[in-house]
Amino acid sequence: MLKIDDLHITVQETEILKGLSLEVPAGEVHAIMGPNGSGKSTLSYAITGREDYEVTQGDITLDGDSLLEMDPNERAAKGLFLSFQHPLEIPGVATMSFIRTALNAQRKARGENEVTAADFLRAIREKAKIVGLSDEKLKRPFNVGFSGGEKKRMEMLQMAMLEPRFGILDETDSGLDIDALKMVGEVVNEMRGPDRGFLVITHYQRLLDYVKPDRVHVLADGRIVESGGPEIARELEEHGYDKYIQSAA
Amino acid sequence: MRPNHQFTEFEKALIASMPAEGSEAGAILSGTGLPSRRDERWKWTDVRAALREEKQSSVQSVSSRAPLLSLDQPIEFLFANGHLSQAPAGLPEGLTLSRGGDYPLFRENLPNIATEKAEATYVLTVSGKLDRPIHLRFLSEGSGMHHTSVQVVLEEGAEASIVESLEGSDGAWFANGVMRFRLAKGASLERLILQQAHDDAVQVHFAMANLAAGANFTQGTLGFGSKLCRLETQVLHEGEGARAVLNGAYLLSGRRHLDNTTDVGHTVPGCVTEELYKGVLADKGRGVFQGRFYVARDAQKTDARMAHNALLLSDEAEVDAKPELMIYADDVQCAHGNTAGALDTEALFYMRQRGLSEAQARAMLVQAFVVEAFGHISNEDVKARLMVLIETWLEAQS
Repeated sequence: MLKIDDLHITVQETEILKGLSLEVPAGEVHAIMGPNGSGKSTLSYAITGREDYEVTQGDITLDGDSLLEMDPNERAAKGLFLSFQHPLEIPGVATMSFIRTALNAQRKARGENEVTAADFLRAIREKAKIVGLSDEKLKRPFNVGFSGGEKKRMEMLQMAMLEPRFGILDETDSGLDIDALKMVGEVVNEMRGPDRGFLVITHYQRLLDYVKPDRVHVLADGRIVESGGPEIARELEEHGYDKYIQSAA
Repeated sequence: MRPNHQFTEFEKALIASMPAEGSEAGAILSGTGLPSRRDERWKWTDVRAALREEKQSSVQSVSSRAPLLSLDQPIEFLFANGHLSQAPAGLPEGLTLSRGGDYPLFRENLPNIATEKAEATYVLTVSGKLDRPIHLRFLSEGSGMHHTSVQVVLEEGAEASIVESLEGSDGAWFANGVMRFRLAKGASLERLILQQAHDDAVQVHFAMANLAAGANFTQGTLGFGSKLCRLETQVLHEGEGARAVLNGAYLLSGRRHLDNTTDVGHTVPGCVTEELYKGVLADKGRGVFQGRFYVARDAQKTDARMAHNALLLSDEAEVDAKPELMIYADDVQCAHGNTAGALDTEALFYMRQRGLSEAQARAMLVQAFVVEAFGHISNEDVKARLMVLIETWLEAQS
């Protein structure tokens, strides 16, 4: 499904990713863990096509198609979704109309029919209940006045609405309490299926109690330095990242 | 007389067209000419340079066109190249139309010229609450010049709303308009100015509003510029507890120029002024914002706030802003803020990651930026129609 091959990324003339390779087959959830500054967020931005993240070498493919020449919105229409580590407030932009515009833009790009206002409203109300956002919150300008936790709920709501083929969760657990972590687990587990993949990027093990990964990779200094089963996450929780930082340096 | 002032062909013709006797505007014009960059208040909007060639008076007719903004049951007055060519057969109760009005001599001379050169000063007088909006449509066409002068008088406690649409089709015409608003005690007026003109047109639309105690003057502007356009509003708080809102948005593309100038005088205690302008500049658009608050020594407890924010969509666009506070009272709350910046690239990426095209994301962010300037407009229908005009502008950019 998602395949990253010898990826080198330079940001403002500094090489952040230095030959990262990773494959997440359809139907699987992989976790990437790593110390601060190891390149976790750079990886999520590189996959989704943020400007200024220059690919100097390597390739990223989704279902066999290279993403590198695609605009961010083309990648989104192809099925990529990023739950941002720091979701933005966008004053003046109505939440519902933003999400509906996004959904219909993706559907249009894929040659599908747009959703009607009534169908959209029904779906968003139902999913807002699952992620724990009130009607009043949906009526506000996008994320304006939201707490950190509410912003993450809004990320999960968008993921549930956009139904991506591949979801990337960039430190979605940061700043969340136990109830919110459970909610994230609920949304991801509900969406898990044979045609869908997830990459969960996290610093801590705790989210992985709710979203059980098939594989765990350790990212240090721009490379995957170890891959294995969920036991790696528990090991990291116990011993920290020291050995990876030293071995990477 | 200015030393070494070389009159342009336009100025010579305009001077020659003023009455030979008793024309105060003509006398000033013969001395100083048209405002130009040598005048502090016009340094960024050089009318003289924009109007060099001689112009004839415009013909008094224009081809008909759909209104820029359709209103619900408007009381519509149509000025065709300055000539009042259509007025409602009967006016609703509480509204009268007459000719005359007293003319103060304005500090600016263009409105003085407009007052003298207009076919008449039309006076609309409102008593009681007027439910339907007054719509003054100023239509311009051709390559001549024309002038209009309208006074709107609100009697004690009267309430009304007025839309002035400055519309024009092709041509290098010059339109010079003056509006005077007189709000008696407790009167309330909601004013909207809508400006859209051809690339070659030059427009100056000046207004003076005098507010008595407890009067409420709310103004919104949406302008798209022209070769040179200045929308100026002067407000004078003359009675305690008067309130003025001066909001506006402008969207400029190509080489269009729009100047929003406001000047608010607070001469008595306890008056409120809120001002917010939002500008969006593409291509080589040029925006000018000049805002001045004067607070006299007796005008204690004045609450006056001014903000101007510009969004530059192009490196070649230009915005010049001059906020000015002149405060002589010591117990007041006055503030001003002025910003200019580009679209937030982080927000753009976020929205594109969700699937919006770059054009869609930009349009949504620009609308979000501009809509704040319409926060005061109570009529949701009107607000929605203004947003449609903005959407149309945005679509033309992408």
